[in-house]
Amino acid sequence: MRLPLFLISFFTGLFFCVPCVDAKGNPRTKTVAAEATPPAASQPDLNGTAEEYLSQAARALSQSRWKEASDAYSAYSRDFGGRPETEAVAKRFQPAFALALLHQNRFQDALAPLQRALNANPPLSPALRQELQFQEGLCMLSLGDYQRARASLEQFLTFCTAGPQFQQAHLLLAQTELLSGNPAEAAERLKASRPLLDSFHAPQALLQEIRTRIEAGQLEPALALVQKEKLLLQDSFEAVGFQNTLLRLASHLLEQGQFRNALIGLYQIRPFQTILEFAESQLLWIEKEGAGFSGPSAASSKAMLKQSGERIRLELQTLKECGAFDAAVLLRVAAAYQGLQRFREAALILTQAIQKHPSEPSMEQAGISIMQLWSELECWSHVDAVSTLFCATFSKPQNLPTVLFLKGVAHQKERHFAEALKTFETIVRVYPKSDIARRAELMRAFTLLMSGDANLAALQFAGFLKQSAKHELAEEAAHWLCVAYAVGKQPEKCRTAAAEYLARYPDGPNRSAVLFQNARAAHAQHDYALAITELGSLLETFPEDPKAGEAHLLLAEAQLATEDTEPALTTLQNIPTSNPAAFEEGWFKAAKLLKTLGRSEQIASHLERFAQQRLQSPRYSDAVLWACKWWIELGQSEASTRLAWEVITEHANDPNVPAVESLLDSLATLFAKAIPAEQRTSDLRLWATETTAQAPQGTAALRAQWGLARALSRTSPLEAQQLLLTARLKMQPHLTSDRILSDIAEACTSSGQATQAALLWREMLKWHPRSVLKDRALAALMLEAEQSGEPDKALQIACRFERECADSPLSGRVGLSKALIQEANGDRKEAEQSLQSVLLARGASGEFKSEALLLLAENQMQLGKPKTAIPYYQRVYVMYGRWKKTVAKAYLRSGEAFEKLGDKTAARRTYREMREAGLPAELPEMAQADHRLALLGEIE
Amino acid sequence: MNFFSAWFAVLLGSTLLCQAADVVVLKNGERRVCRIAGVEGENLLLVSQPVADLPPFVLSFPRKQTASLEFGPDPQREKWLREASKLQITELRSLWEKFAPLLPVASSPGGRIGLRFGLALLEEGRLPSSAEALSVFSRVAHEATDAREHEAGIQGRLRAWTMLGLSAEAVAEAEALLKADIGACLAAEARLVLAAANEAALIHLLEENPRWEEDDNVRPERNALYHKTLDLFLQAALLPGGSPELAMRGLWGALGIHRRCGQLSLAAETARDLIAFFPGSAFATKATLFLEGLPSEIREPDPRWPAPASLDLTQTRKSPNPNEKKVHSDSHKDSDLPAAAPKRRKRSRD
Repeated sequence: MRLPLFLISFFTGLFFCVPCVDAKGNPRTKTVAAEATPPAASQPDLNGTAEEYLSQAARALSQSRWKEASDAYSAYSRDFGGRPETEAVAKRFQPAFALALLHQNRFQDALAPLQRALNANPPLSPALRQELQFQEGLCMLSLGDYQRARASLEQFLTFCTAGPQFQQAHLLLAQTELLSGNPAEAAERLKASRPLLDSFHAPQALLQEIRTRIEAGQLEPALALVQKEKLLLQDSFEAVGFQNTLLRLASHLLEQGQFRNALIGLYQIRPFQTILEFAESQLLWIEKEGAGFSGPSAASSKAMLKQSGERIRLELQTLKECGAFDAAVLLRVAAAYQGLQRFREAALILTQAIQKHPSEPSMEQAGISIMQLWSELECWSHVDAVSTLFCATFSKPQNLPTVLFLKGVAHQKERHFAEALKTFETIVRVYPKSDIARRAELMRAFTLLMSGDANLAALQFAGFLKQSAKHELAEEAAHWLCVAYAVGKQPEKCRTAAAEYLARYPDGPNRSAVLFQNARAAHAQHDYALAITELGSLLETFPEDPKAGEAHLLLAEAQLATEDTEPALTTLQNIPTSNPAAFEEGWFKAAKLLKTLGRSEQIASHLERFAQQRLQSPRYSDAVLWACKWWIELGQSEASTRLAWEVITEHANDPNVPAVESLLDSLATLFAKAIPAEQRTSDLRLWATETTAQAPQGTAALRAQWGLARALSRTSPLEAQQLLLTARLKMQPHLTSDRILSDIAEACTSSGQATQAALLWREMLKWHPRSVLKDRALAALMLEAEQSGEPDKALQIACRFERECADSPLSGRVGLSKALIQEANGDRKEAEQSLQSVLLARGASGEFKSEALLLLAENQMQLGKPKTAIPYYQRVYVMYGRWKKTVAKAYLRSGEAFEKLGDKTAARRTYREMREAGLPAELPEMAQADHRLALLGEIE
Repeated sequence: MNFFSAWFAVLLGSTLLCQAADVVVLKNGERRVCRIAGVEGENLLLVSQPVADLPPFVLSFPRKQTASLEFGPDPQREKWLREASKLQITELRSLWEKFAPLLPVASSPGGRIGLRFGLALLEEGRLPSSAEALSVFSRVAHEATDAREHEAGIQGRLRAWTMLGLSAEAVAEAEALLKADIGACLAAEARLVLAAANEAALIHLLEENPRWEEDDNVRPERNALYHKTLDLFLQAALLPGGSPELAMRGLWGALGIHRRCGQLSLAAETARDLIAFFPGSAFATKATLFLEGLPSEIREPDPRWPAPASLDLTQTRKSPNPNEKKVHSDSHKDSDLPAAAPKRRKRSRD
């Protein structure tokens, strides 16, 4: 219900409960006119004496027959009015006459007797006059003369300072302002009046003030009022109206973009069921209390309660008209959060809305919104979950294709390509004629491209273009078709597709990308001249293109292919730095080209310049090392040493320059010929002393000590170990390189400090999650767990190792240890799987693979299956002859297996083969084999 | 009429009838209006005031002689319960001991007394008190007939478990609860329990993997934990029907997660929520302090979203759950602010 309409009905209710005057001129407060039907204003057709008229009117009044009473008074006035002798009588009945007319809603007719009564001289009694003044205000209000109503009520308030009419007059005064189109003035009047009102009327005035402020557009003051005075309203008769008002206020705030303020309002709103229960309990209370009133003011109190009851019912009706009130609130809360860019909150609220109010018509759209919100947050698993909820909630959803599409995109983003393809295919199959099916087709092709099936993707893109050439996504499809052909190594088709694109979309947004693919295809077709022309043109037209770096590299390649080395060098040196990867690649390629051109001196300075300019580059240390090598190659070992030590000393204290460790580690190999080992060690020792003196706990001191230890590791391993152990005290794991950490950890292990070593390995894993030394750390930690009697922990680490370091050379050792733990735990099957994994591990050495085979064979022997065990043994000595001990064991056990099978010939053959395999004679298995042979009857 | 009912009729004189609201129904069907003051051993304690001018006295009546009990409202007791705190723990315990046996009686005040007593015990913050609270809440959860009191008992039990550090039990119960159809307050409490457990796991993961962003193996786990924890905190805070106290805890938890994960703008937004939605509360004060500690470019609200009106009242939504009053504000007393995000460190060099 709109606010003005509500206010009118509200104040009309007030009007009906105001006191009137009875026939004797005494004030009365009964609501009487509610049931009266307004009669037509017509002249009475009566005939009688003055006394008859008066007694008829008095009788009618006492029996509430208002029309009869007013007709009698009218007839009296018509027949006997205007005479001096009846003037006194006429004055007396004017209040009653007015009353009778007011009861019939004949406000216009009532005005004259009211004014006559108010202007009576001598004046009427103050009580009667007060009542009539109030009635005049009401009368004017009903007639729409708000200015006169206001004047009348203000006049009334000059001589009335308490009582129900005083309270109502204040509310009515605000009403006159509101109806005059001055909601701001109405609000101010209500604000001024509220302190004067009793506990029954104050909440009404407060609610009206909030509403009028909303009407006046004063949303923030309205909200402030809500926050400040809400307790007054929450448990009053106005509570239901308050809830309606809050929703309206929040809606206005939302419209104005005041999202958080809207939320403040919305969070005050109670659930519909709570409001309903509260309202019903209030109505029950009103009914009960109303029946119990007695005494002189009972009528007035009853009337007020009745009026409150009507207001509650009216507000409840309004509340119900909102449809699902709770859903409306939730949707607004979600909208507010969305406005605040708080997508997570909005999505959570909307999910609740769907779950609680699935039948609401707007909920399907809400479902789509949730998926979009989670997509915005890149919570792809949430998108998938919502799609499931959506399908479970809505039986015949109209938006299902959109939901499926978003689900497919989520799968694609999570790189679950198979699921994504399945979803897109479902859309295309089930909704073939919809627009979303076209989009799904395109996404299917794109997903195929992402999953690595470029040729099938190209087919799909081509199919899309054939079927939907005019679709808004056709330009995208044409572009991706070129890419798919390029990735699928179909340069001819790529060029055809590119030509079609360029013809069709001369100003297409993907033009530069297509031109690049076109040129790349020319390069792939070995048409280098064409590639050079096209790439040159591309770089001229789109110098800032994201692909410019790649285009430069490709151009240089084409130029080199046509032996245009100088232009190629220029191209490589002109790669913009905006693409760091291409720039650095170009720099190193330029170095190689300089080498090809025989400009050795330029190479070193070229690389040195890189080192000076690209300190943060991941290829920084490569550049320095290359430069050093080139100086040495040029016979300028001094320049090389200078460069190496300049970099080392300049960045020694900066833990973010890993080149220092790389250089320190490479000093031995780099200067193996140029500088004697003693000199190198002495230089390092001197530097270590200096750095330690400058800052004993500094990064430079630590690096120097580590570098010295590395240099001494072969010649003086004990000193090196000691240096590393003391370096541990200078170390801050989060600032120390993984190389230093792992070397110190290994020094700890070697010196028997297993706990300390484990701690360091853990620190290394913690601060260097992508370290290439991770396998060493995990293997060491696994061993430590195994040795300290924690097999479960060891297995856990082994699993992590398998997950994260699949190709490590340590995978054999770890896999074998894992299998042994599993075997010890009685998990024979799992142990066997682990051993099989060792056999398949690319990084595992033959040593561990042969042991794995031996263990697998032993398992079979224990299971009483010598026949199955024999091939495993045979694989050991056929494939892994390098590991003699294992081979000896395998031969011996293989012979024993043949014996178990009763095949003495084969057993003898095996033992003989063993003796001839060149195995060390001191191995115990050799003697055992001899013994077995002797037993089998073969005496040497 | 047997001896007991005759004696009963004599003692409960007519003067009592106009004051009392409870009803004792005897086995012979007679209904006696009186005031029930609890149970002692095998006897009911009944308050008698045969003569209006004389003070009332308590008398015992064998419970086995009664067929049923009906409790009427006792506004005075309810008001006292509402206002009782840990300072009245002795009185609460005494009242609880008297009314606990009456928990299974419909409309008995035993549930409300137990809940208030349990909360007061939790407010003490000591382990023995929390253990006692756990037994009280458990009894209410098992025996209370009123659905809301039953749920509030479970809610209290979750809190007591958490206070006792028995998070495994709390998590198991919370997970089971969220699969069932439960009230908004209990659901919010359960979500907070799960959020806290997930938060602990997230903190552990972050401590063990400070460079999780670089670790392809850890990143998915971290992201899953982050989203789950945040969703649980926010669901506890935002979904309708909960209480202000639960909402504040939820928002504060979300703020902590944002802060720990270095999302200071989101943390600031959540702090502004707390200040705007619950002005004057302890959480709003903490949120204000948090905002004040932020760099000015984050502290200042986005001009696109006007600042909320400055308001000063604390009361907001009214909880339908009796188990809601200033309990968990203490749970954060150890740390005025949620943990800060670890300082951004250099990237791994590998």
